Amino acid sequence: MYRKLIWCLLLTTAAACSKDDAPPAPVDKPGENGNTVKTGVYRVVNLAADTNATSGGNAVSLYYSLEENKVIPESQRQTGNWDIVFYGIYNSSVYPNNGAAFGSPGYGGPGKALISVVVNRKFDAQYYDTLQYKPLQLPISRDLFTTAFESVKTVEEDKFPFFTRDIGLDHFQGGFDGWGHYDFYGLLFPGDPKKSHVVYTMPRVMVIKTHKGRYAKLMIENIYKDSPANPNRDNRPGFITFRYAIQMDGTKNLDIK
Amino acid sequence: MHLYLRHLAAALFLITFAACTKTETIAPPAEGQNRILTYNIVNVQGEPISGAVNDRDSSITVYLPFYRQLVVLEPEITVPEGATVTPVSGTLIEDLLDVFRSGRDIKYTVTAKDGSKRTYTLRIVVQQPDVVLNELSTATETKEFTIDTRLAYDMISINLAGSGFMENNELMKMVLVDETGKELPPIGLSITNVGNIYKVSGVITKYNDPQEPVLQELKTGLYKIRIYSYGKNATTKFPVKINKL
Repeated sequence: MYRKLIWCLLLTTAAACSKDDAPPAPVDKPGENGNTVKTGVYRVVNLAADTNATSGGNAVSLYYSLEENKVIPESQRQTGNWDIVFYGIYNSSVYPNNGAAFGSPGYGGPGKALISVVVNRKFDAQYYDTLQYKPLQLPISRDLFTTAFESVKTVEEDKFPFFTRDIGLDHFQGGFDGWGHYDFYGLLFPGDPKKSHVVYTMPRVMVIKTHKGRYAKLMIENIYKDSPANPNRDNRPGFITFRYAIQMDGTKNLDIK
Repeated sequence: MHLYLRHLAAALFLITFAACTKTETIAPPAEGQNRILTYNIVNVQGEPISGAVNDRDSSITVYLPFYRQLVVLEPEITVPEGATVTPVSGTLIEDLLDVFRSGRDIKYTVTAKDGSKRTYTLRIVVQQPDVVLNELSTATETKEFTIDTRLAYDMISINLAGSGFMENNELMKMVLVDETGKELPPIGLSITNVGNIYKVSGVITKYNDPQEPVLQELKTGLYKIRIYSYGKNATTKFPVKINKL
């Protein structure tokens, strides 16, 4: 009798646990509406966000669906049609589509997306002064970008918590880790007037939970036209080049080739 | 005998009465199959916003609280089996600010299985405090602004205090209204005055060509200032004078 009761309790507990642990099932199946991408790595080159961007004001926002690999019009900012937006000065703030985040572009809408940035100080030390928060040398080796991207193999929420707010420029006007270094005064190249207000991307990977509950990793490679390795003021900003890998099966496996 | 008849009459009476009651029960008229059953706005956090469907005047009323800051609506519409609705369920209503400010007819036509049609009109009611503006001029004293377009750079800044403003500038608009009642193109809102629900700050700048549209159309004269704040707007009672040199 008691044995049966204990078995019952055990089964109930196990069932409850497995329910909690299981990743929430995505809202729809990939390919269901005919437009979604397959699990894989995608690279978007010279995406024209706001090609008249200056450092003086917010650029035209660029809304993007990772699940469909396409730009979504701003008029749909309060829908579940997009996952991230390149927002603000030089489109440098990457916000997830989160309708609960007050003041964010998707505020008020149904968005449930989240974002985090993976930071590994040991890895950073290869190119970056981890105390002064600035690159040690420029350009940063492209190999480091590839290594950083490939080394993110799963979603580690305990290490890199998800935010409903933006990931932006690294330690610029605030203590937050970001995806790129903004050399406001041109300190990295003293005396060169064409080197102030320049954004240098860093080998940092952002992990995104899409609105529909899938995971992706994303790295911004460049924000200037044709991805100059060592940009200056003559390069045209507003042309975002990024790569991302998306896992469409709903798991946290980001070891995607 | 008399007793027998009396009993019979009573029985008959009862039977008739009971029978009558039964036949008086009539079924309600069948509901039209060209109706909208439910109309919900689903692009929100949590529970959808339910629209009130009124079959008497074929309308749908949606109450929108301003703090949700919605500028696009995604309706989910249900109709009886076999019926269709156009635009179809899920068709976005984009640029809601334009709907508030310019007006736009939004209608839904339901076609029943038997081909009968019915058209509903959507009414959007924004629940929002009124916009109140503190006057810059009085009946006797007119506030003046001057912008000198002969200079390489000049600007005027129009600061208006009041209430009912939105903390998100994208939901706000400032325009000048000339003496004929015509609106000039919108004035750019200051990017340094954000999140301020008690002051709105507009800036007209003369700088590099091409000049901003409001400056191109601006002539020296009297203008009232109109503030659009999400679903409401207000205009100053007294005009200001703007000199364009």
